[in-house]
Amino acid sequence: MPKDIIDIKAALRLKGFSFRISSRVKGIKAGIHKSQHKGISPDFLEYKEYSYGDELKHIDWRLYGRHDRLYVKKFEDEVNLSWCMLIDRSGSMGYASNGNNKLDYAIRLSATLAYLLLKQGDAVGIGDFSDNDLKMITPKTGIANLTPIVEKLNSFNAYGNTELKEAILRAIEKTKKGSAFVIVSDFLIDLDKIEESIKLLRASGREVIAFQVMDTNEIEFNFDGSIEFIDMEGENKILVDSGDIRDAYRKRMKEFIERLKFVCLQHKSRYVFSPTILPIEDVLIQIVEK
Amino acid sequence: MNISFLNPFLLIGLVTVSLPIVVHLISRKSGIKKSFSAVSFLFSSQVETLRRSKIKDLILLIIRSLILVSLVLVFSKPNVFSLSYVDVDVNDVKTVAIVIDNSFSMGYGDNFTIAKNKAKSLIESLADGSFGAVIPLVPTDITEHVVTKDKRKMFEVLENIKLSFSFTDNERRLEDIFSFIGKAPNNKKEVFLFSDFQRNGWINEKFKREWLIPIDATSDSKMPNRAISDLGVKDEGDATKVSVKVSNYSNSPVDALLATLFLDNKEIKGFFRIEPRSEQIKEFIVPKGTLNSDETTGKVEISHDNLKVDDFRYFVHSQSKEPRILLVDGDPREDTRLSETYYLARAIETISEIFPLRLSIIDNDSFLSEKLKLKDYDLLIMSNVGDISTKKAFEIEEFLRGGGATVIFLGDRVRNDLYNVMLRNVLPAEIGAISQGDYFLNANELNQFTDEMNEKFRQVEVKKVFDLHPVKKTNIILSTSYNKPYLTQRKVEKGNIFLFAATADTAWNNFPITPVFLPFIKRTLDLSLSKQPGIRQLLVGESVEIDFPNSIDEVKIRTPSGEEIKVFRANPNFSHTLIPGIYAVKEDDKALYNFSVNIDPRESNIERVSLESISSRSGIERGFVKVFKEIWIYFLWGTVALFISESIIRFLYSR
Repeated sequence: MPKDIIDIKAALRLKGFSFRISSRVKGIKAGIHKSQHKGISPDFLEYKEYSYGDELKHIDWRLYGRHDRLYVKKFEDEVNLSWCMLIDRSGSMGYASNGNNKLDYAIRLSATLAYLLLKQGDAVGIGDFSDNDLKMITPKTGIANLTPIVEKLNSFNAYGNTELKEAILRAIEKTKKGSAFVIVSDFLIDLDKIEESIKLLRASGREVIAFQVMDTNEIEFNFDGSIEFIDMEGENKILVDSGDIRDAYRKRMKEFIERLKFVCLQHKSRYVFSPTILPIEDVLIQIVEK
Repeated sequence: MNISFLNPFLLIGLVTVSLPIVVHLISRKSGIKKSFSAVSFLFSSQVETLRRSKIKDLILLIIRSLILVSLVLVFSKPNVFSLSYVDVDVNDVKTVAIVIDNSFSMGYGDNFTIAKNKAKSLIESLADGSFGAVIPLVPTDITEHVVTKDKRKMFEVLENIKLSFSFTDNERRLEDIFSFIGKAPNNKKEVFLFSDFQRNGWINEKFKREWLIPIDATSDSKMPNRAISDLGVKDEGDATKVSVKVSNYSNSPVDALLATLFLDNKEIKGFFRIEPRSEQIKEFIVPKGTLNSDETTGKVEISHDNLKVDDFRYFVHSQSKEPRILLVDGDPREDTRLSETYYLARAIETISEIFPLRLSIIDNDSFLSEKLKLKDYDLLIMSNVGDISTKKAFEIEEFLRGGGATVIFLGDRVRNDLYNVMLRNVLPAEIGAISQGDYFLNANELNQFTDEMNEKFRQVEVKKVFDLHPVKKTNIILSTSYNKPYLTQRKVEKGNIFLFAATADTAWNNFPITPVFLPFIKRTLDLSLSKQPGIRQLLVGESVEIDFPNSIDEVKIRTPSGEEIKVFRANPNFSHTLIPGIYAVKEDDKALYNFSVNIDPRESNIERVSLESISSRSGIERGFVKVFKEIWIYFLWGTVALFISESIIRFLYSR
């Protein structure tokens, strides 16, 4: 039942909004996104001094006559966009301090976004961070694509380790240059690995939006007493007095989130903080075009 | 300050103090298990919080333990109490003597401290305006007693009273104190005696005095004790025997009590088994060859008990030398039986079979020879010696002054005027004319012969004597029945000279052939040679006349505590024998001889007299009572304060 995991309230509220990314995209079909392909759209963008390799047909001869210099015209083109959504379904995403776990939240967020993107005519594909996800749904347009997407999302359960880089490498192969990557994860891995992955995507011409899904306890560490914590993605365990360690933990977590934000910003990517207590629409509204 | 508890059985609750420790240890090893996604952050956070966390844990652990201790104490109802003296007239102004028994038996357990603490309480409870004097029962360095109103001064004197090693005559000492306090201000007088009331200090057990208030200063009325009560050293043949007497002053037997004889770097051990209220003597036998030739110092020690001071005893032993006797025969004969000295020599030879002696017999000429030196002998016996040179007379005088002994028998060869001139400085009597008669002998009442011997002197028949006219300080030992001096004796500095009025043979009397002759000669030899062993064993507090060797006018005496005291020939008495041990007499750094000082063994028997028997105030309620003050409320406040502290610390650390 596709609708079960789509946040109807969010979908209805965000139905009239356009989800865009700030940089240029490549595309053939007419859509709402600005294309990097210059010249075929009637909307003039800017002049640029001629250099070797520019199309001779784009030279503005009038300007040449006026300034005695060669300038080429550049145009905006609106195209549809291809979205690839990568959902982290590693063990840590199974954590929940109360009610739904982070994976449930990530699924609902992804399903709702997929619905909205398909509705606005974009192509949407989906994959996960699992060790060997061979059944990634490649981006396709049309609302009919929602059913397999939702079915795949429904099949997710939290297990295994976070293998971000491998998932990205696979997804790059199955998407075109200019695609937008939506990564939904708690990003509780080494920050260097995250940066490496984002750099990889950006270098391959992909846009990136990172949704960091966090549980309240992961941020606030509202535990009491002496607790032995067992790692959800490994064998590690640690016995701590929650009261003693709380301040230090919060400080470290805050630093980590700030650094993650900075890494995203540094690589011209968007970061969206997505605590599970925040309604889906409040998260998604952060990436609608203003 | 002392503490007691109204509910002492609740103190068992103190075992709960272990609870926080156990909980702490258990909680360190286990906790609730929870799966968590950001465990790596916990690892990195723990590094910086670990030390802080440990300190917090420790503080909380201590506070929680203290809370439990404090709670247990609250319910156990602790009280502090002090001893306070209760008098019928608390506000009465009076003069008191606070007498502290510092005889050595008070060193038993904590008795001396108890006595001082009780005396302190008494001083504190004295009414303003009262006078007090703190006095040790055994006089030590504090000789002047001060009657004062100033309690601080009283405390000061009390603090300075030290245990002595002496035995004291309580009654005479107390009489002195009564006399002293009698002259002090205020009409009302009291003498408090803090003592163990050991029986030996009291001659009269019914010693009752109006002012005396006895205060028991013992922690336990039963005070079993064992002590070395006597020690003797003597040479027998080739061995030296040290006999040790150990007394058991308790009602239970002593099994295998170890006694150790320390002697010239040697240790000899022995065991005593003594019945209750009994004593045992054991002899330690030491071969003579293993000892120092001249003098041996030693100590016997038994396993220590509550009164240590009587568990050891010191001794000094000089190896006895055979006395050398020079017998001058003034009328020698070829037939020795007819010689002047025949009976005398036989008597001395007989004595030497039991007590080794070296006897040399010479004639008058040899005696006058310059080769003969009197200093090589201990005793000179002149028998009917007719000729004395000036030089020899002078030598005899020196011999006597140096400690030698001389016995002179007269006879028909003796010229009384020559003797009176030559030996005028040493003769006990001026020798007069010869008298004839029919006498028997009487022993002087002051002499040291036994009654049996005195009786036998009457059997002696004397027919001829020189009239002796004793000089000053002469002791007449024997007289004839006509009251003519027969044997006179005089002390010449360290020496002794004996002068007989008749001969040593049977020419003038039958004395040599009477049964009393042999014991008489033995006794005379004993008296003549009395300086030989020297006084080397003393009791604490006794004085001794120090023996100065020739040409030394000053000696130093090193006490067992290391103090060195000078003693001069002009005043040879030494009375600084305050502590037991070996005292060394030295000339500069050259050791001369030693003497030992020991405690009086009478004090070791710590049997008590009843307090009622020595106080005449038995009907009056007196003594010390415990004044209690409850302090559990402080522990309650303490518990509350600890609870608050615990909460604050937890709050501060949880922020």
